[in-house]
Amino acid sequence: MSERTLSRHVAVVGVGESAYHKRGRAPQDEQGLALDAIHAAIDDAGLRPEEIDGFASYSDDRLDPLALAVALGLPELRFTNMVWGGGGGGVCAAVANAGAAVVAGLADAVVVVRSLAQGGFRFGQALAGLGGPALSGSMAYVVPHGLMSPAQTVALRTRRFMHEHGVGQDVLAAIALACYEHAQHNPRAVMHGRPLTREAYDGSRWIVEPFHLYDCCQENDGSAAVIVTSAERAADLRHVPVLVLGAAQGTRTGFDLFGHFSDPYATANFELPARHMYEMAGLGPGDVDVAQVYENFTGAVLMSMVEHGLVDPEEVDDVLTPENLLWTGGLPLNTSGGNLAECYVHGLELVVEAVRQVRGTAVCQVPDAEVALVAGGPAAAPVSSVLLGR
Amino acid sequence: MSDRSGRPVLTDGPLPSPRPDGVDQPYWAAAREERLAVQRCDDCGRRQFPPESFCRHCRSTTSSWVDVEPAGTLFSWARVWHPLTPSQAGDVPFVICVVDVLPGEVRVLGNLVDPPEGDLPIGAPVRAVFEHHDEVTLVQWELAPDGA
Repeated sequence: MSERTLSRHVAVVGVGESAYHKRGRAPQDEQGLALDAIHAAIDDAGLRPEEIDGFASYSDDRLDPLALAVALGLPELRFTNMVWGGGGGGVCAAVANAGAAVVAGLADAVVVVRSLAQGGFRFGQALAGLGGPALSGSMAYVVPHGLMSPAQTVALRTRRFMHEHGVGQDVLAAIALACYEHAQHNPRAVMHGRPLTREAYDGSRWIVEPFHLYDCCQENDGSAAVIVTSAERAADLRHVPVLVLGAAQGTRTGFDLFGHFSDPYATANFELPARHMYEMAGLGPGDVDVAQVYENFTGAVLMSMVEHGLVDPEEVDDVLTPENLLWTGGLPLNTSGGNLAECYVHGLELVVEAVRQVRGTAVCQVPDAEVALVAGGPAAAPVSSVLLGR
Repeated sequence: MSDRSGRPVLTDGPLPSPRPDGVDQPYWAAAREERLAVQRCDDCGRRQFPPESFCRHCRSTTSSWVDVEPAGTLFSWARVWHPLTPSQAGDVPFVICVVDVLPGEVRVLGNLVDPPEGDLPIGAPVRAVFEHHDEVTLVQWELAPDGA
């Protein structure tokens, strides 16, 4: 077997999204939102619906691929795939799995889709009441102490990271401010027209220290979709192909998802996939022109950026400033507003934005962006990352 | 963390109960007697928490239970302001703490009882407070007095 790699063999050729809504406000169900996003992505690519032959998703998405295939009029469904693990940890892995299917000849054009309509289901809500009549395993040692939410879990990891590296609250504020500023330029963003000031950030209520309200992602109704096909096919389509340069998923096996009992502790869990992604791409952190880093909570963005080598942990206070994180700065972050301020589509909206940056068609376009990083679902297991570029 | 109903006040959900395989039963029994007990691997000697049917370090499946000093240092903390359940609403803010009991081997999680306001001192010594409820005893923590 020759070299086994996805790198530069597959491309993202179409991106689309539904209208984005506040939680519980979508007039459609999750399938209706998804079909809007998928049709938009097919149109964007210049493909015909019947050329689609696979679906990939993550986070136990509730869509039914067969129902989608019927609704889209697909003659054949050759590939379906779901990444294990909750949250957005699987978002880039779903893109990679779509690419792997294309390279392996299992499918020709795979839609990666995620859809959330939280009127009926809430994601990331307290875990109380789940797990049946009794608690066992790590949950037995955390839930009775009131630890039930991802915000609390990430707050504990973030606090330890801030202690170990002397990081202050200003960095968390800077991440929130940058995301909100980008959303003011993005008409799709749910927080468009809702600018955030440092005073408003500081004055917002604590959810769990060190996280204010604005350190936490929105909950939304919306869907996004991207289409992955071969680099050869991509060359004939509408847009400049956005190649998958490197991709990886995984977790350190010692990572304790629900408990807090093992090392590494103060981590977003990207050490392993970040290394594998860069190795596949033959690139390093210095090659990244723009970063889309999943914000469940700002503290996780901070740790994710460190673990992808974008900032030295001892220089965080100096580098992660509001100005530097804007699209006009030295380390542009979440240039469409991301989960905090565009729409919480479990990070697939970040992949859409990364594609637009590489094409040169983003609203907050980073000049000459050639390589875009997406980091999905920090502090979950598995987590995943992808490098996209020309 | 007042005990008004005999149940731990921070959860409306299910309470801890020993695993079907019984591997963690000695931990809960020890807490009832105000002891902090952990597994010690019979082969490599490392102690571990939470209990498991194998040693996370060497994969041995034989271990014994040993008491450890119910004290440690504050490793991390989070002060919760947003209540997640109706029962928490009267108790916010409360502090979740992670405690290093045996660095590199045993780390535990609980609530910091009677925490001071403002930032809390990571690295400071803490000691266990055994909080008895009708069905379960929870191991909680308090900052040790100066010089303790």
